[in-house]
Amino acid sequence: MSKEMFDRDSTGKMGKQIVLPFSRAVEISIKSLKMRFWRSIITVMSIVLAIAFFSSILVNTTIVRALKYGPTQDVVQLEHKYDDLETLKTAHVKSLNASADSQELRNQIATLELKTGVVAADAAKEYKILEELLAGKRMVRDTVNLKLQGDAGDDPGADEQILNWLKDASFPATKGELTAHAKLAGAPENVLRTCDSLPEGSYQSDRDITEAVAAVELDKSYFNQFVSQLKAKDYWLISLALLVCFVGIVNAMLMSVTERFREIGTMKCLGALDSFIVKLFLLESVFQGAAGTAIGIVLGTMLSVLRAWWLYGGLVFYHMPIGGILLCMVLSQAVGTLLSVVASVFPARAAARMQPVDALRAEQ
Amino acid sequence: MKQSIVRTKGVTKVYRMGNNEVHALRGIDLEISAGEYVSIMGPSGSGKSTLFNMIGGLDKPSAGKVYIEEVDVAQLDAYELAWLRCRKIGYIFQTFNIIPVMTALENVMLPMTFAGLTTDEARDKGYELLKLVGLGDRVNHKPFELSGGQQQRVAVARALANDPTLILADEPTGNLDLTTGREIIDLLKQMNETRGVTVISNTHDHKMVIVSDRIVRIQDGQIERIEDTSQLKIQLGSIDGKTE
Repeated sequence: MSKEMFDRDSTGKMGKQIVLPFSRAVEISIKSLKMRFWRSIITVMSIVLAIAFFSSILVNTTIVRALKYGPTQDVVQLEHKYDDLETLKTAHVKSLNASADSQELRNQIATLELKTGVVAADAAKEYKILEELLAGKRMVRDTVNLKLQGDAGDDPGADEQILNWLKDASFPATKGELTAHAKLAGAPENVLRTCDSLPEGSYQSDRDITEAVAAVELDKSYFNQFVSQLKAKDYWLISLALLVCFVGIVNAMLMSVTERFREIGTMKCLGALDSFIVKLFLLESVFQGAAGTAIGIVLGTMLSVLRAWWLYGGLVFYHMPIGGILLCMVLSQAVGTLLSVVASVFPARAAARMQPVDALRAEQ
Repeated sequence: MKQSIVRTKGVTKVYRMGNNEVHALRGIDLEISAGEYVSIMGPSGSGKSTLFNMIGGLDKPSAGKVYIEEVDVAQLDAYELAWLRCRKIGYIFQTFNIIPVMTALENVMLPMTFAGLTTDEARDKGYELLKLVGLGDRVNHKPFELSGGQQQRVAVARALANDPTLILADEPTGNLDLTTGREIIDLLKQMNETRGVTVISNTHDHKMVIVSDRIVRIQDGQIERIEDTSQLKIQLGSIDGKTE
């Protein structure tokens, strides 16, 4: 990326200044930052706080959404196994009392044994154990949902919303019938949309619907997961935090540029090109931004996890969406760094416009 | 026939301040040859600084031309101008203007970096230059660890970094005490004599008079007279070391 150098010889023919390699600008900007460390802490702090806020909202959203559907899915899975065990138990009892050889019955028992992994003779015992387990899981699910409702206020999970509107529906029903029923009942747009997104087929009970909704929700891309959880209030808060941070960075950088007018002018007298000055300030801002963002992300994520632990107890760690959280962190890093870069464009260009003449000014 | 380093022809500069026009320079014709030591002197507001800026390629005249080594400065684009400032001219400021975040050595290396030298080449040359100005033992000191005189020495070393043909010194002794000022002036004269570099100095300091080859006196934006010091008998009195 360097301009051709016309430098003919040292006897004074005019040449063109080369564009310096990036590494030089990097060296100088790192030195500047080290020297101005304490001054730049204030700017970095504002980035840390804004990004901590941003990432904590994202991570919180991810954790809450995992909690909304995690325990529910657990319960539904167990309920399936419960039903199968009940059927196996009944079949086993029947087979003990059956007089004739029923091939059909034996097939049914074999299939269920395969499915549940439990031998028919042990069905009753397993059934009892599962019953207790299921009761426990249901309690967890209900506790979590209660807490979530209290936390979310007017925003219960999608499955609860749908179930509310389908209270009087007659089962078995197809998806189309359910959607029609909800529409008649006067369900809002988002509920109808969720109904529409359910897979085709016959729904036997509330549980089928719950299961389908949970599967659909958890299947959504991470991005859609955020969007479906974030409310207008959240968007407003995030935008505000980032805007304040942006303005803070621009302000601090402009101050820095104004203070350093002599240094910039001198550099130009030594042969620095305008683009070099721009690079210098951009790099300083990017390094500050990246460092501040990294700290902010760690802070925000930790706070979110601690808050979730405090509110919902240890079970949070069973449903911790590690992948989702990592994605939040990456997204926050991108947003923070981008913010720093964009915020520094204007001050960097102001710096590049400073004239070498100003370096000669003797007044302080 | 000596090579002309700086040549101005009818240089005029008009500043517009609101509705007023300030004529800072009213037609300056000046020629400075290679190896000369020229001092520009004049009262405040005489246009001294403006002329200095013109000669140093830091500003463009409203009318007239400025030639540095027979190249019209006004015709140069940003890249060529940067090259000129990097390779041909060394600047020395009244306020020293050493970059505070770098050591003395790194400061001297900076213009060499802009000229494209590798770090090792720059470092070796930097050492030599700092030894030349008498700061061989302070190469790794930061500016705040150096006295005013030492900082100005670093500035002199930095100005010489790329072997320029011209050194422009704007009030180099303005912020220095008597003794230190004298040292700097001697240093500049030494560079002028040993390296043949042209020195143009903008100054109030009469101590400069002795070492200068010519003195350009400016008044009201015009050259009042140009004195050739070889034809002047200069005697500076002193009362307890104070000459002004």
